[in-house]
Amino acid sequence: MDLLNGFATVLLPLNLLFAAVGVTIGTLVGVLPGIGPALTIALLLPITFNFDDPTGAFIMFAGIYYGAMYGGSTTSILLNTPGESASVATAIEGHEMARRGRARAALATAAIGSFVAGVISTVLLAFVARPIGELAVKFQAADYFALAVLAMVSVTALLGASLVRGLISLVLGLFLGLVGLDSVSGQLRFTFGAPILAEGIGITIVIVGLFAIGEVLYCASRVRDGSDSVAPLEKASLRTGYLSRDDWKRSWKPWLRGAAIGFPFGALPAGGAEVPTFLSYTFEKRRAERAGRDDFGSGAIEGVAGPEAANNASFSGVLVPLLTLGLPTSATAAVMLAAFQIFNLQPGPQLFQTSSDLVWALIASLFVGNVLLLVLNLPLIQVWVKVLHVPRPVLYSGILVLATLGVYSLSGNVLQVFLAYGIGVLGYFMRRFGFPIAPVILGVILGPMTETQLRRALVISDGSFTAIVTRPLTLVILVLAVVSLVLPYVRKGKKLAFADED
Amino acid sequence: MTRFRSGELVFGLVLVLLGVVALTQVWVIRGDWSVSGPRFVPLVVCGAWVVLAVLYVAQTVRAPSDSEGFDRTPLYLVLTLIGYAYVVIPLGYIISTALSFVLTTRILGSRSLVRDVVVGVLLAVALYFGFTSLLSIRLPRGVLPL
Repeated sequence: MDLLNGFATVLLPLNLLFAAVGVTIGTLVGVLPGIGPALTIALLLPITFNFDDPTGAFIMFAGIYYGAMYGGSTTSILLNTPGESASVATAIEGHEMARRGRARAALATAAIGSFVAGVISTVLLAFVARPIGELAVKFQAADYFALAVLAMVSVTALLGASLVRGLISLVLGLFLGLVGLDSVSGQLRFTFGAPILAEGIGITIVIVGLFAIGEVLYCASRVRDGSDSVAPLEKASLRTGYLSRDDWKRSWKPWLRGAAIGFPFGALPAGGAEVPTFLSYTFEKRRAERAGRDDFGSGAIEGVAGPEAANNASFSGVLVPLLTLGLPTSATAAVMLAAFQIFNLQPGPQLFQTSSDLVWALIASLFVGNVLLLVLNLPLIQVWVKVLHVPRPVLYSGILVLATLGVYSLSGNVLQVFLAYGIGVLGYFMRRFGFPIAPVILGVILGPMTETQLRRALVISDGSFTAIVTRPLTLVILVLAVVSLVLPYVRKGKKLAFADED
Repeated sequence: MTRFRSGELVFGLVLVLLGVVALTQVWVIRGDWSVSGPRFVPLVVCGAWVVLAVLYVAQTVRAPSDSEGFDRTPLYLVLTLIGYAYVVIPLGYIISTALSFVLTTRILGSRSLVRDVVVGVLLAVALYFGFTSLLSIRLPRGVLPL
């Protein structure tokens, strides 16, 4: 009945307001072209730092996340510029629907599908989180090390055009995570004598630098093309929820299948939303072909309904390793972990004991966020479309201003702003030469944890690696990590991943 | 040999160079070489960095060229940002933000100066007062008598 207590917390008027504000701001920022959920949360992170109570902050976060994700789908459908790789599948059919004057139906099936899948997957999260948390208590340092390696390696292998690029991204992230005071020995590492580096490079600085500043620099070189145009909305009709009876009939099964694919894949320590969205897309396409239909590629509603549901469901799935093991498996989850750490909360097996109220309030706020998303977004579609018309120079200048303000308000130090700009320049070149960004983020976040657990395990085993790898559970996880590295290359040409990242 | 490919090659070589510099810094860390000490993981990470960067350079040299023109816009943007960070304390948040906003919109090819100035000033003022009074985060006041 912890969940009911969670609802009692979330349904307080003030918290409900936070959720509503979160959904609105999240959608508003997420709709902006090129801005994915991870960056939206990173840009809006400073606002929540001023909360005294982490519960309110996390309720707002859940709202921001759902809003940002839905905003991203809106942009993908109307503009065909997916802000993250998880929206790529949606963009394929969604934009085709919009071009054929069915934008409203596409947006509606995305919103309702997200809602359905979000509710289902949050129920699943509520059921599995505690048992897995109890299981995780038995995990030893070596297992944590192996899990973190699996998470980093599999995300790296799935994203990006080449393995070498992905691994370089990961190594750069690991290096950024090493800078500063070593928490075990108290020694300074890679500070180059600069006092500002002694405290380490903050994850928000890396995220804002890579996603906001790097992204704007990258987009700046193509802003003059001005080739993209917003697909017009057809006149509002009286059909229920903008979907015709036939649309409903064709949508509900993909929604459920998307949720069924999204949650387990998100919950794997090798998670993320890319694989389940593409799996869902491929699955729906195959089914349509088998049924003798050939409208995939020209705006099939199943191709929007399935991936969107999978995308939303995978987020609840990603929360499983995040909350129970402290293991983020997507860039967004990494930002969420950073937020936890700012409130001095350490996700992991103990979280359900130490901050049980907060966890259940967070899970309850996911339900509320889903409902608000549906209530706010369907009627407000016109508003979001207007946001898409913001001139690009104004948009990108605004992002730079907000990114700078975000970094400065977090640290109160101009040197940190320079650091973020420097990382932004790195991000620009990485984007330009096809390096995925998400592995950097995972490296920064997971690197220190991986190192600490490895060293702890090595101390226990008297410095022997064999003692670690002969522990069955650790060995299995490490083998999985190797398999995930090799697998995409065994079936070359059928790779699911796209050269983008969230 | 197009610019894109040579640019990629330069980036790869810079990565190798930085990796080597980082690797030498492992010896700067105080401590021993035991696997559970503070030097072991940095050694592995920096070693992997150098090896991967060399592999990348090797790939780039063999890769088919892909053409993409060179655009100075990002460079101008970075210079503007650096200037912004330099003047934000002496000039204050509002003036420096409005100035750099207008400047970046220009660089990004905007043609309506009046709109950009209006948006820039409004944005700067709104953010300043929003953050200082609502969120009680201090921002540089600078030369304006606020």
